[in-house]
Amino acid sequence: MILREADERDLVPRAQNGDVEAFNVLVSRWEKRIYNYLLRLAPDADEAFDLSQETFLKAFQNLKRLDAPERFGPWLYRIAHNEAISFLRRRRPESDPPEQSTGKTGVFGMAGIEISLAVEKALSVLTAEQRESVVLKVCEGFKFEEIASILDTPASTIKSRVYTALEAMRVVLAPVVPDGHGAPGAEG
Amino acid sequence: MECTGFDWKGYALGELSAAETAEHERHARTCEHCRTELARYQATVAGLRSLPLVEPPRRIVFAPEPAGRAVSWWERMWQSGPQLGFASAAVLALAIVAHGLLARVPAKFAPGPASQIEARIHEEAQQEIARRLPQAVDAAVERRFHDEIRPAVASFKAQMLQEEKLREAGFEQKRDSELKTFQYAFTRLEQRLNYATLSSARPNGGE
Repeated sequence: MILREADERDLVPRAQNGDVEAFNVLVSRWEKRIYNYLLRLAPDADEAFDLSQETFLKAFQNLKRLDAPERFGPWLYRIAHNEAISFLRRRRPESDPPEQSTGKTGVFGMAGIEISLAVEKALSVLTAEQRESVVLKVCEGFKFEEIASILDTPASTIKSRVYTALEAMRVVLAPVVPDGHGAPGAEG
Repeated sequence: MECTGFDWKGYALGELSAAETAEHERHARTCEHCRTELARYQATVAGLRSLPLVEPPRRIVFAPEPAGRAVSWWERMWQSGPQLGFASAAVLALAIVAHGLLARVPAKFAPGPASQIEARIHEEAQQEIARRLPQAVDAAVERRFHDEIRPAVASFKAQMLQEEKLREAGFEQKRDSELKTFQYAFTRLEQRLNYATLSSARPNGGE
């Protein structure tokens, strides 16, 4: 993370000065994460990819407005969030939770697949706001203050959403998570 | 047993300070209930973090501008969402204003159902015809009188005068002819009378 930020402090100013190759390097570093983030918000993979392209296009067009190069990541997610929200409002004013993709393979063999499917199911019971907040916090690793700036929502509200989402997911995941899993110090 | 004052969600998310973390760990070693609760939160967080990332269907790459190629103002505007949006809005506003000024529709022809518009147009046409028809008829009669009847009357008068002259001329000629005939006859009678007078005055008594 530190190395990436150090690189971005160099790449972002170059891209701001019109260096397209520098911007392409930034795109290559962030496109997979942005695409996966948008997969959680968009109704399908095609829309998620279109939104990813729009996100990077908007980022390129507005890059000069980014004052702090080290904030490139949260700034990019904010654009992606706004693109997704605009799309969902245009497409269906009363946004339903997007269909969660299935059939993804985990990294732990069969147990990993089961956990992945269970986590996907647990995510699907959350509200769209809870899901986005928990993805940004847990999957993307942002701080509450960063998520607050991405979603333009108070950090306290974001924290409340994440805690509520974890509580709901814990209930859904209880049947597949054995008691005593993990130990103090294993996480964090 | 519920233990209060412990933030196991914050612990699982790594949001606690070092002192808070140590305190939570000490308690978890002695409390099975909290240890179970923490294990479930940790499993949830671990499950979320283990979700595999899906590869995008293709790479997103931006093509650099050709070297030395100047970007024109309209290209910059085309590539700028706000500028393009503003320009589009300005053009639309101009079109609306121009339409309002140049194609103002009278209130009486304001849009409405087609049947109402048709009836209104028919009524307006009838009123206009009733208003204009007497004037048009008078004007047509006046024009016809000036253009056709008055010249015809003048022509007829001229013709009558001509015929009158001709008739008078004929009468004079006939009178002169008759007068000449009478004068000739009188002259002949006078000659005969003179001849007879002369004959009777001869000694032999005539011829």
